[in-house]
Amino acid sequence: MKRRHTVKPLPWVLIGILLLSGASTARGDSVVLIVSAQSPIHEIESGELRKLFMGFRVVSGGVPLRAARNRSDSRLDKIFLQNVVALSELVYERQLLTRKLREASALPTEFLTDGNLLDAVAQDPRTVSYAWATAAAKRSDVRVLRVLWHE
Amino acid sequence: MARVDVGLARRVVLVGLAVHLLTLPVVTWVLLVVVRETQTNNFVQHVRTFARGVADGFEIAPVLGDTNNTGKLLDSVILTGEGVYAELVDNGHRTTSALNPPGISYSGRQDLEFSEHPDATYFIVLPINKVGHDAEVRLGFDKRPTLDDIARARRRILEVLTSYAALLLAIAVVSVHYLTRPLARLGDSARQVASGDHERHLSANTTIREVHDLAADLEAMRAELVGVNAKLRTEMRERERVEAQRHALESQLRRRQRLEALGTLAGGVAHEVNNTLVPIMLFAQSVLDALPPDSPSREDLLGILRSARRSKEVVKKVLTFSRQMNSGKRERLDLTEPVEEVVRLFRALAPASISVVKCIEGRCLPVIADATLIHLLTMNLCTNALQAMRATGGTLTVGLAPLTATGLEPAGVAAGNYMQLRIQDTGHGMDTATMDRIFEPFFTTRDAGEGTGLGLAVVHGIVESLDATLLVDSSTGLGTDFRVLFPAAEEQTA
Repeated sequence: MKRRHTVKPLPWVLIGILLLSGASTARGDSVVLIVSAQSPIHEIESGELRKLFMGFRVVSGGVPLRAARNRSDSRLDKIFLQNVVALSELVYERQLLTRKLREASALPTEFLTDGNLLDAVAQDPRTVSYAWATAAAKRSDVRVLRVLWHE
Repeated sequence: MARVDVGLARRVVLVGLAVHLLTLPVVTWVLLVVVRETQTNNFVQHVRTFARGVADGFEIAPVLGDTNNTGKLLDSVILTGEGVYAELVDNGHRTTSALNPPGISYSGRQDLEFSEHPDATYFIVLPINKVGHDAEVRLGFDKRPTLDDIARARRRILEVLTSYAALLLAIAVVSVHYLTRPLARLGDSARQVASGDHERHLSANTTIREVHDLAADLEAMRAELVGVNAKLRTEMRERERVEAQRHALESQLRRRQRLEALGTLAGGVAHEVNNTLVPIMLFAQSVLDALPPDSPSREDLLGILRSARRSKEVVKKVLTFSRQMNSGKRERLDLTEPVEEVVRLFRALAPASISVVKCIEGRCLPVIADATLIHLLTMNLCTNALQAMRATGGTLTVGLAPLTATGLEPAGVAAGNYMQLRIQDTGHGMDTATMDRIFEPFFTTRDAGEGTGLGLAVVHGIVESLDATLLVDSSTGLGTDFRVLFPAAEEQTA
């Protein structure tokens, strides 16, 4: 008896979506520094940005800023570690822990999905974060300050 | 049943090897990962910090647009020994360090993590955040020292772990040898004990407490078993001795009963024959006396008388065997004299091929006996011995010695003091069937006409009448040993 081979479409569709989504973020994309569209912040120097994400108190326009770490993508996290805080992951985590234990500083809030991060940034004018440029461009309630990294 | 063909040493070494074959690769892998992570983390941390410092320098210092100073700052990246490549792109204008090596150039690929890729340069590109400038600095760092460090650390880890495995194996072999040697020694001793060397002590001669205790326990068990074994052997020997004694006594009893019956029968017949012979001899003698000297019938009557006298001698012997004859005069008697007399007689009678040896030892104890009967007994035994050696020659030994019986030896002899008369020959000996019948009257192994078969029967009768004991030991081809034990007179009186 001859068996008829059937191709199940769902797994292939999922694989295709994953490949396309990976390509969309990996090729030709940029990592941008973002704040809320209502935020009074227009510029943050590189040194201030490092201080903010390392748990130091940074004030802009009389308002203390909050850092939101985007952990939705491992590649994005590596770019953040290299281009923003300029530390290895181990040293960065150690620095955060040291600051938390010694000075009880408020550490950057971590977000595991782009959606949650962008919502948090959009709702809080004091929050500063980073995201793929393509993701940030889809949100009108989020404003791009500058490019942190590009392919 | 479990397999026992794998020794302790091999088993321990195999288990150790198996454990280390499983664990060492895991330990090695973990160590290698830790080393790699540590080295790469140090590298990444260092180059990121350094690159950030350079970028900060371009952001803070007013060097952008100043090609000369920009070049100097880029050269300092190389001169510090930290970077191997430095370039700046400012508003589309590209400035490179004059110290960049010729083989290295930025190809557009940035590194975000350390990889052991053949490409030996780690590139970091950092945007310069300065108003009026669209700039970025591109820095290259040599990965080879870190790769060399990782490779060297890997080699060292492998060397250390290999050395550790070899050392552990050697220690295992030595330890197992140290452990199994006393066990092997103990095993050898145990095997020797099992093979019959019961006196061999079980010891391990070791400082290992468990093995030492085991050896001590086994030694205690061996000692206990040896004691039990010795006790069992003694009991067995005693039982065998009692059994042999019982067997000998039963045999002796059967022989005595048989001889008793024979004696009763032979004695009755002998009496009747004797009663018949007396008138024959009296009347023949009367007729002979009445006949004239030249009567032709005198020779016939003399023949009748000779035959009757011979028959009377036979009857006398039979009566002696059956103890129905007067046993003579019983008195305290020293056996030396009648025995020496017989020895003298036989030295004269024995052929040259037979030597007669007298062996009288110790103090001669007096016995209650009749000298004539002792003489007759000794004569008959010596005659028997001479007959046994007639064809081959040999030695006739006549011995006389005091003997103290313990009740155990000789078999069947009551404890007490005895005088032992011993007649030994080196003749043809007897088998057991013959020995069983030698005291029966008219039993003989000689040819017809060479004997009456009454000699040993007479001996038996005399021994019985004197309450003595007769022991016979004989082996075919080796000779015969007769021993007559006469109770010492002092014992009897006591």
